[in-house]
Order: sequence, then C-alpha cells, then structure tokens
Amino acid sequence: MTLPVTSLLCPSCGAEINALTAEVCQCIAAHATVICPSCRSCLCRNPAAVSAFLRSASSEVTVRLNRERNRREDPANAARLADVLIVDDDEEIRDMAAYRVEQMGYRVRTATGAAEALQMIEQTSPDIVLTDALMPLMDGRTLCRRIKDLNPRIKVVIMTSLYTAPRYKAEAHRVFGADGYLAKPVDFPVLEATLGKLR
Amino acid sequence: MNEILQRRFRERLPVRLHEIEIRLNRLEECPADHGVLLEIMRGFHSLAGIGGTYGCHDLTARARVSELICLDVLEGGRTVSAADVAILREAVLSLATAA
Repeated sequence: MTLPVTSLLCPSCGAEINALTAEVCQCIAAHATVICPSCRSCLCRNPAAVSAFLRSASSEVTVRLNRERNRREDPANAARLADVLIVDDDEEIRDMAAYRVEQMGYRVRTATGAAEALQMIEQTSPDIVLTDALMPLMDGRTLCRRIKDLNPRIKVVIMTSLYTAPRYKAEAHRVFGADGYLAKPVDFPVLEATLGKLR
Repeated sequence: MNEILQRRFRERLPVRLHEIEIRLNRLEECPADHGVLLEIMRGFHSLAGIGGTYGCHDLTARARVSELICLDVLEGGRTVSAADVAILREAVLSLATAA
C-alpha cells in the first residue's frame, strides 16, 4: 500500500509545500505542476514526487491545477499571460522595458545579467527572453545560445544599439538561434509587434 | 510609474556622464589602455540605449557617435589620440544638455 504524500519539500529553499500552500506551476514544461510559494521555484525536475503529491493532495489543488491548465490552453489567455524575462545590466533600461512590457499585458520578470537569467530560467522557464546584446561577463548572443541549449522552446529576442546591420541580424539567427533582433533604443510599438508574433 | 522612471533617469544622467569623464581622465594618462576605452564605450552604449528609451533621441544620436568612435579605435587596435579624447570630452559636455 502506498502512503499518501501530503507535502513536498522545496529542493531550492527547503520550504514545506502542502495542499493549502501549493500553487500550480506556470512554466512551460508539460509535466510541471507545482511551484514553491516561498521561493517561486518550479518542481518540474521532480515529476514523480509532484505526481504522488497531487494524487494525495486535496481536491482544491487539483481544481486549481486544472483551472490553470485550461487557462494556459486557451489561446487568448496563453497569449495575454505570456511570461517575459527581460535581461539588461542597465537598471534604467531594464525597469522602463519591464514597465512597458507589463503594460502590453505580459507577465514580466527581470534579470541583471546572463548568469542570473540562466539561473531563473532553470527554475521557471519564461515564454520569451528579451536580452540586451552588450553585457559584461556574458553577452546577449552567447546567452541566447545557452538558453536554446537549455530549452529550445523559449523564444529569444536580442536588443542592440551596436550591431544593427542586417548581417548581424542574420548571424544572430544562424549562429545563436535568436528569434528576433531589435535595434536599441527600443521602439516600443515595434517591440509589441515582435512579442505578439512570438507568443 | 512612468514619471518616477523619467525623474530617476534625469537625476542619474549627470552621474553617468561624470563616470565617463573619470574614465576619460584615466584614458588620457594611459592612451593604450583598451580596457578603459571599452568601459567608456560601454558608458556611451548605455546612454545610447537609454536616451531613446526615455524619449531623448538627440542624446541617443550623440552617444551613438561617441560609441562608434571608441569602437573604431578598439577594432583598429590603435592607441587613442589626444584628438579622440578631446572629441569624446566634447561629446560628454553636449550630452549633458541633450536630455
């Protein structure tokens, strides 16, 4: 006889997740089901434990899970709620971009650099990553390639004020796998159109 | 929110320009130091990006020119000249009034 699994321990922060605190996962992995309410990390890397927990958890969690699934599968909702990660080492550009993209109806997270972005992506995959090209330690094009290695389903748009010639755009797509390439300063209506095509 | 961000941008602009000026001083002492020049280029690059984001397109245009001057020296592998530094200093002054 299998014992019911009434709680999970978050592998990232150690917090206990039970039927009352469990939140449905919003990442794009099909088997992902629960996120930690304390640190927001996704438990999608442990599908067996999550599945056992959900079988034992209260109906409330199951209802929430189904509601979230339905919402994501509805094309209109999926589009409106797409998750965008903005990566820029410049706080002022990052904040303004986050503000404007949020106004466009997306859910937005931000990262100050490539390393932080990769860490965040490993925990919860965004739908779209909008990254600066020129950043210290790791540039946006290398970040793009790393993201595609991690999860090819994530769309990546590179923003640059320097490499705007068409040959760079072609290279960004061919070599680094970028899905979009925008000139900085960002023209927000153009950005909105670009994000709209990708979601 | 937009007003708060705009105000912060205008308050920080002199700080950003001052940082570039400090690096230009260092570059004047060591004209072959491409590390400092790269930092200066990043400073202009940042301003070029941020200017337009906050609606200051003149600032973006001027910062872009300065960024390209730095890039030209870096890609050419040459030592920065006194004339280059003078142009970059003038650019910093003009950027202060462009926002």
